[in-house]
Amino acid sequence: MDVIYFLIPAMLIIGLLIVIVLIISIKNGQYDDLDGDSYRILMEDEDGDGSNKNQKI
Amino acid sequence: MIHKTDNCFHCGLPVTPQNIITIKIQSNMENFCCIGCSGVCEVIYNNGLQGFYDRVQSNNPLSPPPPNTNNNNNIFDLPEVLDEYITIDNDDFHKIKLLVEGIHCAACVWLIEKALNDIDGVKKIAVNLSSKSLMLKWNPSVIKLSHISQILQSIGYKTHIYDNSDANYQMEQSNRKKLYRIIFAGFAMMNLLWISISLYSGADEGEYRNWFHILGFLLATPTLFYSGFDFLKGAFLSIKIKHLNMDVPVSIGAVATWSYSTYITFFNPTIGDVYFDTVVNFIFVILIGRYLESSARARAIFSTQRLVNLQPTNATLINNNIEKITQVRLLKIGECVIVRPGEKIPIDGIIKSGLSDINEASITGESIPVIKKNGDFVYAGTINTNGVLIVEIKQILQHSTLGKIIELVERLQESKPPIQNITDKIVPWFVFITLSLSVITFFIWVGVDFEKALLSSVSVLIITCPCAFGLATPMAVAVASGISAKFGILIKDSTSFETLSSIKHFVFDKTGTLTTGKLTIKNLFLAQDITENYFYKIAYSLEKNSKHPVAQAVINKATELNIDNHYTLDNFKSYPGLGVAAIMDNNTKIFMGKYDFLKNNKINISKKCNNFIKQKTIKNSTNVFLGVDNLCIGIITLTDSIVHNASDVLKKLSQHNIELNLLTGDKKEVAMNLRQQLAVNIKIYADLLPEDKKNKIKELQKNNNNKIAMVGDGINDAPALMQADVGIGMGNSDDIALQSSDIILLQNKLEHIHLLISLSKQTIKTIKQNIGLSVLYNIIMVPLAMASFVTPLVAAIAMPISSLLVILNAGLINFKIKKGSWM
Repeated sequence: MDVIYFLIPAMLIIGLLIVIVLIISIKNGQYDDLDGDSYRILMEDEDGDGSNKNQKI
Repeated sequence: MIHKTDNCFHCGLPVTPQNIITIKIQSNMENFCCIGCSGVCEVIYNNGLQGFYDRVQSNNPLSPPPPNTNNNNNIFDLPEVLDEYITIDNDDFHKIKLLVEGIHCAACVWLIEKALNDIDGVKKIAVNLSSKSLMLKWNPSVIKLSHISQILQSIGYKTHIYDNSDANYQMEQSNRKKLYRIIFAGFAMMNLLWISISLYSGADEGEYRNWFHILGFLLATPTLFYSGFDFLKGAFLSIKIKHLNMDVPVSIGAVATWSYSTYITFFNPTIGDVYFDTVVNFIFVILIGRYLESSARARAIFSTQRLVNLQPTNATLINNNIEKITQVRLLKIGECVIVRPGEKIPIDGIIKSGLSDINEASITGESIPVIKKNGDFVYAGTINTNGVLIVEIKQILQHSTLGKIIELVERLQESKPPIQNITDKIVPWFVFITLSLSVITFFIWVGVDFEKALLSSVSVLIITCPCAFGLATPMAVAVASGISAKFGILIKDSTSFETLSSIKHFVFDKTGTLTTGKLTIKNLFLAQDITENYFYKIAYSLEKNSKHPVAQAVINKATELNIDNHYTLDNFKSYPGLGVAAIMDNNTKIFMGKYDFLKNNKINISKKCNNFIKQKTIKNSTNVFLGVDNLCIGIITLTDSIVHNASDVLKKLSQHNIELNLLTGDKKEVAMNLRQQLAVNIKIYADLLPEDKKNKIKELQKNNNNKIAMVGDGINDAPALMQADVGIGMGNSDDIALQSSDIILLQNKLEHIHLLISLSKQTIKTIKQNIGLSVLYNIIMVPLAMASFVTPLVAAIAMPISSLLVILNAGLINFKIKKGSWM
């Protein structure tokens, strides 16, 4: 049972980190388009010259 | 593979001779309706993905055609316009957000990104499919923004500047805020569950009990005041305006639970437990329910935005034979504009020179064009089908007929009272009963022990958690909106479900709703010994050069008969209001048009023909005569065709005791004729102006407090759609009509009205069941709380169960609406 006294603060810290990561991803606009991005994997251009501009700004 | 030649190989839309594109696909020549489709098809084949075409469902809903793209781009290069919207990066790149009209699927996203990717000066592109927008980063010294816009136009997309004050932007921002709140609540909830588990499994007795409580307090407090901020604010505002909504019981429950737990945490009374986990769970679950509801609504609103209102339309000003393109709102009375065939008349005015058939369907609802000549009045928004007109402006935009309709709609929009939904009606009672029970509990226990009395009365507030109650409506509405979206029905206002479920009066518009608004050939009378094919071949050869609706009907008929070759004609001439003429085989004159037109050109119309047009059913229709070599060879009779299943749809509605009404700006005889063809009992109100339509609906509403649903599509229906309790717009409606509607049938299928009615009835039933469930829960739990038997464990188990039941019940709507068994 005593292990929980260590686990809870650890979870809190990890949880807070997750919240920060999620907030950054929302700020980046990753949740703005829930319809289009699911198709984006199908659209990668085949030229492969490294000049991929189709990214979130 | 054999494909019909008259449809686009890729998207299935009809291919017209004006826009046909033919490319070679695997040794077959295939037809396409636009460059977008042919480009996409080529790529699909080049990558060996042709299996796609076998998978495309044949009944796939068609997307609307791309918008007209003939606006001028100069606005994109004016610094005074752009400065407001551009952000400049340190390395000389400018960033702007543009709204793109015409995006409807992932292929569009791909095409736009592909088209811009290889252009010099463009650094980054990101297309957002949900909000139909484009984020662009480019170097203005290498490429002008207007050039980029032109490239997009060339592939069929129209761009507008994304205005930060615009509703789109607001919605995006509030969406993000909601997500932040949900994420925080989710984080707090998960950690509080850990703490609760520890407490239940023994820590409650241990030395760290207090620390656990304080940790709970630290997690729950920001959750209540940050994640739950919208509820608290909503409750405060609703009490202030004395109109209680769902936020009030939610806030009372959350704040009472939190205060109670905080009291326990810091004052450590002999009895009592903390309920921080309950507060947080409750906020998290309700937030998710609300988020689902609002994103369903946001999607509906995004999809209907056609963006036309964001940018003023242009007109061609003419002054001393010099033409200048200008904005419509800058036009002044007395100036002259030139309107070419196929263009919309920008403003109310009088024709100074020219002669043309004007399609006034958008104002009057009549589908057959009216001849307008020198000195006649023309209305803004009507379409010039043939002939070049010079129009002298008589009204500025705000005072034009179109402007007045828009103003009327806006005024109605402001005055429309909010509809109370079921839960809102129950909320005052709920709040009242909860508070009284809590007070009663206090007085029961106050004689025994003051502290126990206080704690028990608060625990009543905690346990009557309106969680299930608060989810009852949003969950059901979110599920129902999801179902309707699958059928191409957009619900802009979720309260329409409630109104629709009890509606007994439907009002229909005629043109564009019950009829297609397009002329079709009803009858062909051959005066000479010729075949039908021969007749249409000549007619097609002649009419394929014209933009008149009659010509379109002839072209459609010819395509139907598979006539694709035609005679070569010289000297084609269009006589607005009369007909068309040309010379065939060097010396044969052919004329097609009105009776008088042929008479005036000395064409012999036989007695047989004269007798034919005297028949009653023919007399009231539009007849077009074809004369070849001084002899009338045939007459075609045209009517506005009825939507194919209109009759069945209306019959089914009237079988369910729904009263039907028809409002039209057209003549009474035309409407009577339509009723006869539909063979249903429908009340006719004819000869109505847009404002009359609105007043008629008001009148119908006043009779016995009826609720009215209006189905329409035109500009002239917009005020009526707004006035009706539920406005249903067709997908091909004018923008102003779409804005005025609460529900939009994107696929233009009338039978979806049946689905809507069944769906709304089912949704309301589910909402009522959900409310029943939460009442049942309270009947069981409240006596326990009053007897002070409630522990945090009981609350932690009972409350989520009630919410889950409500969510599952909402999900059942999916199964209850079976395809095909509507109404």
